[in-house]
Amino acid sequence: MTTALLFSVVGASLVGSLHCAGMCGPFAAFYSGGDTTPRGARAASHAAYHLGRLVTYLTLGALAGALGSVADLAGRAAGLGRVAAVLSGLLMVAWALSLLLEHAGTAAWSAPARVRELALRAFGGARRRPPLARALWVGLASTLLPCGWLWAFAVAAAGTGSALSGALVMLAFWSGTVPLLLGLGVGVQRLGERLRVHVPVLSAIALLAIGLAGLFGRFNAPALALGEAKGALASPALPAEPPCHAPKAVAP
Amino acid sequence: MSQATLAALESAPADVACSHCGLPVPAGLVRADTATQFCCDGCHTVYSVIHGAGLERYYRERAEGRRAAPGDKSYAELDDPAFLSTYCRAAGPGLLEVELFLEHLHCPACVWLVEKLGRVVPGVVSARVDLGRSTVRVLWPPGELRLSALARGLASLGYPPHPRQSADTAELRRREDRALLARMAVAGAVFANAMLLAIALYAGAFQGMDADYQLFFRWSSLLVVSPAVAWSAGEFYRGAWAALRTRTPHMDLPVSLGIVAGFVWGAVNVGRGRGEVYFDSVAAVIFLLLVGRWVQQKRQHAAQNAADLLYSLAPSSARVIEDEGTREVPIEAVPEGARLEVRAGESFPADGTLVEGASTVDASLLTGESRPEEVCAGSRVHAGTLNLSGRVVMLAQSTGQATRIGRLLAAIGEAASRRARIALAADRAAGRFVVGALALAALTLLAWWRIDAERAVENAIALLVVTCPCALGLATPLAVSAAIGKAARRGILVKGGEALERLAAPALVVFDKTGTLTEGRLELEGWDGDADLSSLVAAIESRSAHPIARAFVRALPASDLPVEELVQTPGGGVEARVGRVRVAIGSLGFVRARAEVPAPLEARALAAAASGETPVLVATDGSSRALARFVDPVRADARESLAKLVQLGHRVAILSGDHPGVVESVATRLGVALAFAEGGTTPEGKLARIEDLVARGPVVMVGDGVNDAAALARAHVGIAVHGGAEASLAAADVFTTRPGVQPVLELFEGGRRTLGVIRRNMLLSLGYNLVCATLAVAGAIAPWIAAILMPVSSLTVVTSSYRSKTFPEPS
Repeated sequence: MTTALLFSVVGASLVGSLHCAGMCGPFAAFYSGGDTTPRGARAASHAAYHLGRLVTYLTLGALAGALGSVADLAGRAAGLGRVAAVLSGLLMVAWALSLLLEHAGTAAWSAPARVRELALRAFGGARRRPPLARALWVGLASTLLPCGWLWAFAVAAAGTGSALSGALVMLAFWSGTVPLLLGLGVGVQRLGERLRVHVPVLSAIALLAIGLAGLFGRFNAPALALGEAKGALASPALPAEPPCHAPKAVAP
Repeated sequence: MSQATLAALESAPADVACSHCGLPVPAGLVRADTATQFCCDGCHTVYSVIHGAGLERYYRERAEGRRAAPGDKSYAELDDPAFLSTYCRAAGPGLLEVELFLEHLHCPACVWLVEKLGRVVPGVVSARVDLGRSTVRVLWPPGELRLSALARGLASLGYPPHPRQSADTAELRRREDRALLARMAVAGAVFANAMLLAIALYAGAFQGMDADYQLFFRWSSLLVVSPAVAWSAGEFYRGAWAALRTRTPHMDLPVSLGIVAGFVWGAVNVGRGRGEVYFDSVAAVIFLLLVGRWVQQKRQHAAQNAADLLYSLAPSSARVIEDEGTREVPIEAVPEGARLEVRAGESFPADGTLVEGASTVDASLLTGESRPEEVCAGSRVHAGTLNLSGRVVMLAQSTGQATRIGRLLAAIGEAASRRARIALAADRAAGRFVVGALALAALTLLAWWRIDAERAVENAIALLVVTCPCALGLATPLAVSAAIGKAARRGILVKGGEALERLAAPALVVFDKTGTLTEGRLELEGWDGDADLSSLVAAIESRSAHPIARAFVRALPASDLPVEELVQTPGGGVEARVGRVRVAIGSLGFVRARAEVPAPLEARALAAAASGETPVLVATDGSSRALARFVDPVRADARESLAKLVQLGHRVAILSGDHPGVVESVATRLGVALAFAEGGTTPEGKLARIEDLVARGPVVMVGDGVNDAAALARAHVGIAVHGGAEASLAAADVFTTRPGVQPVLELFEGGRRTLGVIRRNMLLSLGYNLVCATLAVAGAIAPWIAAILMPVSSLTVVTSSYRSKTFPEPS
């Protein structure tokens, strides 16, 4: 787990959140129940929505990270290192290139209509609930939206190779989306107008950067080495044993 | 790709916006067969969800609401021809002038920024800011530049405009206050937490701390300070950006640089895991500067409220009589020669002549005379005066700024904005200091880079933090605020800081006579003739509210003789029957028409009038028997106070609208040379005289009537004394709540002492800046020491200001 990766995830998420605000902003109208609700209730709905999103993102991140750790394990067994990181890096680079191609007008991919129908059904279930529950439900269902941006970061989470780190990556992603979705920041809205035109290209480039960093980067910052530092203090450092030297089960 | 798709792509519009989020649709996803376009599947899905929920109106409302969103305001309503013809006036060939109220104008440097509007919006001819009223007068060619574009330019600089007449300025100010308070609250919370964390880190630096904890604290400081840097300091970034765009030095520029540099370098160090972090200094700078801005904004709003009061004197609308009936129009839209209806209790909206009806008018606004004046068809009336008794119809001859009151108000406004310009010089010095500090910081960085890159950045940041212009910028305002507070406790209310500074230098002090040097009311000075008529007179005059009657009642012992057949003649006198005696009391003309006046008595009455006294004859049963003479007596402390003023090095003069004979006698009584005493001046005459004197040296004007208002504003310092009219209060820099000349004397002494305090503060802050800047450049100060020294310097200046005895209680 590297801090540089986290930083770049937050940064990319902030840049891309201009689109998040445009796409998911309307959900605020959907779940908030109208202008007649008092300010406190509306704030509670917003909080529930973002909490719901956080929960699904963390889950997604943990799952992706776990998947990545499995890939890593398999890779190590085969003698390859950093399989998850490399695979996710490759995926992200490919994705970023496809976005750029789409922007240039030479390609077009669409998710299958089944995905959209699934999402519609999930959100439809939210309509009949009271405002607070509805907000939470909408937040939880956010991962079902065919949002390439979100899934790109899920891939980055998988690349970290551990459930905890994967969840951390999604936490970083979530924190980058909150400011604009909540409409914080005077002047950012105005800045948004002029930047918005460039968002698709900028976000594709950000994905590209993260992907390349995953492929080639060697981030060695001692910063967020809490767990490792504690581990080092607890027991004397042992050299890493290659898997083939691990004690084998005694054959009957 | 198929031919159809290619053709579709070629005919598709260049940039299509997503029907849901508004971002551009990638060319590859544009579909020629549907009306709705989406930039991605996600948007398509959310769109379907919203429509499925029957919320299509969200899209409609969003389209409408977008125009009203503050960030997207297009100001299209300003281009409406009705607005242009109503609120804008022609100001030259092809040029229009409009007055706009601006938000966020908080300091003289903002005045510079806005006046450089031409650099940001090409085509603007001129922009003049009235800081006191937060308005700007813009001159522009409507044929080449739309007003809405001009307004957008102003908004982009950070000063959203509103049409002055329709601006709900009270609401706008409340919003400004709330916005700033919110930022301060966040900055304050961040500051407190950042300091706590910093203490932990410093303690750790001295006593040793686990690497984990250090890491944790460093990351926490970074996270905690982020909201303040990102949001609370937004005020400074906006000012710095506008300063860069208009290429004017503004204090916000180095502040923003220091904040951002400190934060970024600290963040980099946190990421690298070594090196110092400066989040506590950053948080301190943000919070303290916001507090300073809060104080400034409060003072600004207070000044604006006073100015608003003044402008409420001139009516903003009039009732025009047309064939179909009457219609209310804004004052700017009243055509010349229009017939206006003015009901009882309303102010006249324009200068003009009465054509119908008769009434009485309270013209105290212009003449200071509180006695109502009678008007009828053919009389001239002035805008702002009060129509007392009946409905009249007038012919409008001049409106708005062309009226007498309009010209007076304009003169006041002009003087006020001119004073703000003097404050600009002080801030220009601060501006140069700022540029100097920036340059020095850059030099330090470069010089140290070769020796030790790590320390180079530290020293540069230490320099930026330690020479924060707060101390220099606070020196004068603090001394002035402290002095103003102390003066207020002595009943002397000072509005602007420059007034105190000016009062320190020797000046020509021009006094208005009535109400300032004199009591302002008539007192019985002498009684020639039959003394036993006094009980008759007292009985009769106790039934009247006339000023002369009240003076009689004050002077004579009370009498309860029965009074019958009392008849008051306005402008003449009063007659009644007491017992069997018919009594007439009044002016010479009044009594002459009802009784015989022996020649010597008449001669004495005329002599009294010639020397400025008010003679009142008393006649019983047809023959005049006594003459009462009334004067406005000189105040008891006046002579002594004037003498002390002369001792302080000032010169004294009297300028009055009253009878020249009276002025002369008062001057001699007070020991003022007759050459310096002038009577019989009109309000315009006073203004002209003060203008003349101002050109020759510093002038302080002391007065109380509305007829003094323009002169008070034009003088270098205007002092309105107790009992003054509203217009004077608003036009003057100082207002004394205690009557007499004594408070004026205290004010002068206080001004001199305040200047001493200001000099002391400047020396302290300059000395501190020099010493600490040298130490910082030499690398002897770490940023955390700089952060401590900076508030210490401010504290020293604060203590020096608040503990000085500028306005002591008399022992």
